[in-house]
Amino acid sequence: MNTDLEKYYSLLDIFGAERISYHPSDKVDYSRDMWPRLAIQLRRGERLEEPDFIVWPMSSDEISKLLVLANKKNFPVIPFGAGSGVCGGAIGLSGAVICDMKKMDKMVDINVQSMLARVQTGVIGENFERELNRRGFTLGHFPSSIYCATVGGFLAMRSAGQASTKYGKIEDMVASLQAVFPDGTIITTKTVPHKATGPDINSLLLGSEGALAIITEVTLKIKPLPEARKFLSYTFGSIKSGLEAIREFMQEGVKPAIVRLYDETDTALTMNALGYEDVAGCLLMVIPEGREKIVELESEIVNKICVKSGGKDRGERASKHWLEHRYAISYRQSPILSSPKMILDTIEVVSLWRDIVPLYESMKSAIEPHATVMAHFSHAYPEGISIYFTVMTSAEGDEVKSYDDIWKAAMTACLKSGGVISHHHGIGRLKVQWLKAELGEGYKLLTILKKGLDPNNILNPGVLGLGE
Amino acid sequence: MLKKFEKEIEYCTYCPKMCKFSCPVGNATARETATPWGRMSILYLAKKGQKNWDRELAALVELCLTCMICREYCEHRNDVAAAMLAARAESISRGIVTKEVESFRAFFSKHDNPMGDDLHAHLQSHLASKYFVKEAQVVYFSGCSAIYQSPQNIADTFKIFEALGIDYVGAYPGKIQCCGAPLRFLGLEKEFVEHAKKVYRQLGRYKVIISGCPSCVYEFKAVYPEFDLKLTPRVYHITEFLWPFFQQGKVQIKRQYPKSVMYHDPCYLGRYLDIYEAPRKIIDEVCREQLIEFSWNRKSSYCCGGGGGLPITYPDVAKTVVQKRLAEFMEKKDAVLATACPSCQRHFSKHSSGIEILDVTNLVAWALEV
Repeated sequence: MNTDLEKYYSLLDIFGAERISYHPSDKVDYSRDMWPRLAIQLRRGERLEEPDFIVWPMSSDEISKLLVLANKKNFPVIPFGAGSGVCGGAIGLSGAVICDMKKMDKMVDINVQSMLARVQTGVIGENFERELNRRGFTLGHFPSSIYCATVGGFLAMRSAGQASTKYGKIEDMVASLQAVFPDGTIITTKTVPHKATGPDINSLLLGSEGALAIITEVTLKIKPLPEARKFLSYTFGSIKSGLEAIREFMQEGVKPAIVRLYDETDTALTMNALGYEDVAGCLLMVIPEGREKIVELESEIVNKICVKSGGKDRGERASKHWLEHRYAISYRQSPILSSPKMILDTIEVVSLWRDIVPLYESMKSAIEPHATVMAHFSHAYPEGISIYFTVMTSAEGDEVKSYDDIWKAAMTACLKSGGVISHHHGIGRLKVQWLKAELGEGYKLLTILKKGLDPNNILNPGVLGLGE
Repeated sequence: MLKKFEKEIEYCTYCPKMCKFSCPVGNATARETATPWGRMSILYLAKKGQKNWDRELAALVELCLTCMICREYCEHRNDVAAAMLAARAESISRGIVTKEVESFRAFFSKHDNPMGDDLHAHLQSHLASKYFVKEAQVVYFSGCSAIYQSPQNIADTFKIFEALGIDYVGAYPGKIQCCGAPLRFLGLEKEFVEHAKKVYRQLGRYKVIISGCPSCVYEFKAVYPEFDLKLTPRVYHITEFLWPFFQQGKVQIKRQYPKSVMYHDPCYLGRYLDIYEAPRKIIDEVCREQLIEFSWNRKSSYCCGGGGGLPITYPDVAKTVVQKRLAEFMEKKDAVLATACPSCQRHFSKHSSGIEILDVTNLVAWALEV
């Protein structure tokens, strides 16, 4: 029997014919996630690496059997949520079996008393949020990929939503999880607010990008739907004064849901689109939400600090418009990436307040010779904030080389200026070469973990630079 | 055929799948390739010559309910449903016909409808002869689904007309009682046009056409003209026709329907014809309790799974979709499910038991005690 047939019949025992595919169209569609480099390659007519099979498990037990089989037959398994990642974390590899998680999308339990929701990780973020909403709750996690990413994807990449300043990143919302290790062992952590039982297993697996385990279920901390919301907008003379205002109100203990400060280029584009004539400066949008009295108080504090720091009050229009069109930016990708020679990507980094302006300036200067660049600052903390760069250019020569050059310039500058190379998109296959510099000796821990848990390198080999 | 969708195919291919969460077929199958992004990406490769137009592709483009919810979450307003219909027609023009479509074609051509019955006779057996008003200028076109599966809707409609003193509407007396939409949904464009011409010849003389079937209304209003078959522009869905009578106080309600009603927006009535309020307002008038909304309602209403020929080509997927839609309704105690489309009504009934699924006209008839 040839290898493919043998593999197929082994998979058949676990999944049945209905939940295995080797159709050419499926192989093509599972060959890429949303890594823009792959889109460029597709546009150039290049054939991307394709998996051998796609399977759709319906339980942790089936995943366990799949991983045991993969070890026995020595083939890679790629955990796949919805393929919305932008770093090449879930792509078809030759010889691999894609493990599509989306049939595991059930709401397992809602514990209203403790405000916890247990869910299978194959559910798409927006569908999970809607299920919570109709019960009066929210997860408070609104990444711009919410329409097209799974909860499992959020966990695997340590994603951040637009309202992370109030609700935290996904890792702050996890109370417990179930996961399958590469040898097929299924582990379930206990659901409690916090514990002191050695290193936290949840944290160990969050952000592991499918290289250490497949997370199959999670209990997430949920919140009541906000009772009230305020829309505040200001323009500042420079990003520096805007950032100072944010630092000050964050350190006062204010936690608005949305905090977004745009640099001059991003501000001009945004405010032009809104029809403002006076578009000079940097736009800051702040949206506190929650209990009405708290929202009132937070708005008062934010307003006082912003005005005192030189912010010009622009009323509520800009932030209201932004909220109404909060995912609109994602649609702009297709007209650009479908055009010959065009390159578009986003780069999200993070640092302490002390380093943030130098980091912004050095990365901007490093990228500018290669592409047009603009940025906004969001995901604010009392200690620092993240920067989200959007880069775009029409390549003169080889587009893939130009793309790689942009990343090299940006990441090198980031590391040099005290930034961390990713705040919420993750590493995937894109940032591997800089991850080692980022983590230093700490990277050794990842390799030891990988070796210990996955000695045959069957689980998503290559992401995080592991198992290559 | 696909030429006019080139830009849409490109945009979908390079989109980060923003409509994905909403696609009932994508959700039911959990398959990337079955989402609008997945199907359009394959068409993109076919256009570039990197994928053969084969049976696999033909089967793939059949995986669409044409429900158009994806367009509600597309800033480019890409019409994936229309692209899928064009791709189905393209497959057939290339001689690639799946066995489900082939057998449907033979069946339809034998009966001139998808039900396999003499629908004209069926209609006559359910509707008093007095309602077939000779020389009527205003016609009620029942449509194949209602005649075959929900004749009570038609009987109730005419009783409502009678109660409101509307004596100028006649039941459509023609032999062919199907608008032909099922042919078009399956890509059988040539057969659709031939069929539509026959219907057109009969319907052409009427000044106003009313129907309880949103698909029929849409075909007559928007699709027939695309094939140079211009009927009267005054084509109304029954809820659209009846609501002004309520507004003008001409409807004397004798009793209010006592149970809670949850309303399902049919895709063709809502997203295609933009009629969301008329059925709701009528339900509000005739029911005692406030209407219950699905969490996915109006423009983001979730398809019942009965559209786009999917029950013929992929019955299992269609069943999974309807189960998802019904799940929220099943949580409601003692409620009835109401809709304004006989195809939705039929699809819900087929995949459920022990629940009441009513048409808006059934509720009105109840309230008027007719």
